[in-house]
Amino acid sequence: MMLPTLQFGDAEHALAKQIRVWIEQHDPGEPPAEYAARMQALIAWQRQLHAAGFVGLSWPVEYGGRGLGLAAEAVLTEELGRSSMPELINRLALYTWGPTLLRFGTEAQRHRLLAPMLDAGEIWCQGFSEPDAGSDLAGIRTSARRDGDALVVSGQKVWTSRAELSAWNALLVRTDPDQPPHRGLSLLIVDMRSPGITVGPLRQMLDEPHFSEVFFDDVRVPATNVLGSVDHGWEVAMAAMGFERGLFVLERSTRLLRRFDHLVQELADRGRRDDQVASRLGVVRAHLDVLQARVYSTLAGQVQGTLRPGATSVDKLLLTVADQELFAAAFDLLGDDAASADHGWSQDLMLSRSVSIYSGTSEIQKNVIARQMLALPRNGA
Amino acid sequence: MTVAADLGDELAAVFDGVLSGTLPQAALLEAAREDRHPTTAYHQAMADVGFFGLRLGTEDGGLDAGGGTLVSLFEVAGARLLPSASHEEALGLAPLLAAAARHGDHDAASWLAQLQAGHLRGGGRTFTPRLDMSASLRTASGDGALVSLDGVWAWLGPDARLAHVATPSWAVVVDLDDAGVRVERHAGAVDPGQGLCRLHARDIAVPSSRLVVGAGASRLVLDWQLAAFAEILGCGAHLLAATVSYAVERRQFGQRIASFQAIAHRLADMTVSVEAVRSALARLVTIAESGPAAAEPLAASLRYWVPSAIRTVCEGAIQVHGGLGFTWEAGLHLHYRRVLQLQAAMGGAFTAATEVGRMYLDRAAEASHV
Repeated sequence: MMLPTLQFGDAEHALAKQIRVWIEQHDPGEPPAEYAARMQALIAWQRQLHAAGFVGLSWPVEYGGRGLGLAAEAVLTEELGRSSMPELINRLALYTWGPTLLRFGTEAQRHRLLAPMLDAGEIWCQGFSEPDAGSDLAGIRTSARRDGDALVVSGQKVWTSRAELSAWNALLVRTDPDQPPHRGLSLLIVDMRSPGITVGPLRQMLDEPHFSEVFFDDVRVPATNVLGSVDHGWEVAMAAMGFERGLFVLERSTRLLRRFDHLVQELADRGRRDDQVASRLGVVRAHLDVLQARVYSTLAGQVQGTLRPGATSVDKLLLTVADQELFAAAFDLLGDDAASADHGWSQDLMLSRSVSIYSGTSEIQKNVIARQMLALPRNGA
Repeated sequence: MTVAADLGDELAAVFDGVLSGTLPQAALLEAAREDRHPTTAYHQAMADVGFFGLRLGTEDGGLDAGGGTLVSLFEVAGARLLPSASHEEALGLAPLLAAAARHGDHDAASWLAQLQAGHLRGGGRTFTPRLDMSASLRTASGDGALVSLDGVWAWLGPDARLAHVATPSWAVVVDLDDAGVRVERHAGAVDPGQGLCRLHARDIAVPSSRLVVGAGASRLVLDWQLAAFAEILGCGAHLLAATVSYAVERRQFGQRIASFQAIAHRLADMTVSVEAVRSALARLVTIAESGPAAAEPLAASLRYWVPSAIRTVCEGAIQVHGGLGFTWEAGLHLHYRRVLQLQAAMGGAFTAATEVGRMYLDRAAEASHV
């Protein structure tokens, strides 16, 4: 049985060339090391890319997109990967919540929310995890109760990336405590400027305030901001996580290919080409090539609607192995140069620990594959 | 121009039916134990459904199968453990004989017809890029070339009359009746019953009709790799499915063992490998349409990745089956053996990975000097 894969035709090659030329002329250079300044530089970069017409390539024209296929998005992602700033700051909106709004959103929600995603005018974050609902997402306790034409939210979220920059939070809350854990949840689009929201930065291993705790103290959210229907938030959240994988993983894999090139160059410059070095590099490169091929299948499957349930967990696990193997190899092969002089190798090695944790730990991904792809029985069965 | 993808699936179902009917596990185990070819009717049955014309154009009475079809069919070949000589006959020998026939080589035309009809056996060896080769070619003055075979490992069918040797830059058909060729039967292969031999020859003359150089040769090598990767995939996918079924049925401690997370996670890891290989082959088929040179970087990575990942799948299958998995009768070793044999044929994991790394290091060194 053959899986589908992305096909790049003349239109995509022309687009790639156009983007490459534009990036060569406009690449702003390496972003500032300091976190807040870096965030602002990334916002400015996305705004610039949008003005050039490169953001929202696959979105419908009526919502500010260009109505092209996902292969065009893949082209953008890969060309961006060659730039100094490969990451789109509002990628959560572009890759996850935009497509989810296009599927589940009302016309009013789409018209209000989609356009500012594209130019990074409104950054999005996502509120799923809680102190007692990490891997066990169905254990969410943050609640919303109906009060007139609003829902009133109380509770606490954690590990919310870019919360301090965000205009909107895609928030998963419990609206019916009497239903089984996966039911009775709703997905609210919450204005982060609402009264009653407190953002408390958490510092990750590199001492950057990359994510936050977010507290909700009787926050009023208009009922028109429910995405999908009340008590059916789990379906919306799962669909969103399905969207998340394709382009997000492609962006990561493109960045890893760029870092692989850096590593090869550093080793070549030092005249390191013995068998041990070459073989370690070869293993890493093979992982990266397989990862990229996997994402092409996933994107093609998304277009065709043939993606099997749980299949994107394969992508996440491949990404994790590729990322952790690459930076472990860099550290092992460069030795002192990685530990001291550093072209970001030790930071990347430390950051790679997060890949097997964020967006569902590797253990959870394996559970998903076991249940959804292999239909294995639950524990005790 | 080529068989459409859906037709590829249809053909794959036909091949699966033929092989499951003619190569039962008991016959495979017996052949492996005695290190001889299976004596069932599989070969004639495969010839009857056109297998040996797989890569021939319709004008040669072939199926004109494209890369996608090749992958679908050889996944079946792996799952059903089609003997290795058949692989060589269909993808190496038959296309070379067809090329020779087009150059007016009447013997080759006659051999091709017999091969397609299932009446003539052959085999051979295909070298993937950057392997140390035990074969060499000297272009003779005039017509043809002189070929030396220094103990080339090859798979030959029973009473093989012909063998091909294909490398990324040249490929030849060798007449095994040639007095200058010595075939040394080899016992004790990791994948027994496949007719593993060593071929010896010193400067034997091969007519130009039976010699292909350049792009034609590298295309043969790429096709062989597509098929070999798919065969390895077929072995892994087959064992994964068998292991999932076993783990769901088998009870210990009063539970289905598949419900234990240690087992479930191992099966999930195996699934990741099988699914990733499927995606990688879809990508390779697409790139292969642009030719062997364009496909080589990915193919090189896959020569490391595909056998390594699927070998681990086979090892997981044996582990999850417990003591049963280690027995001769359960037969899991048959697929494991095929994967090991193909991994070795691609140079082994270390060499395959080293060559990938060297390719990128060389490229970076060149870039620095420009």
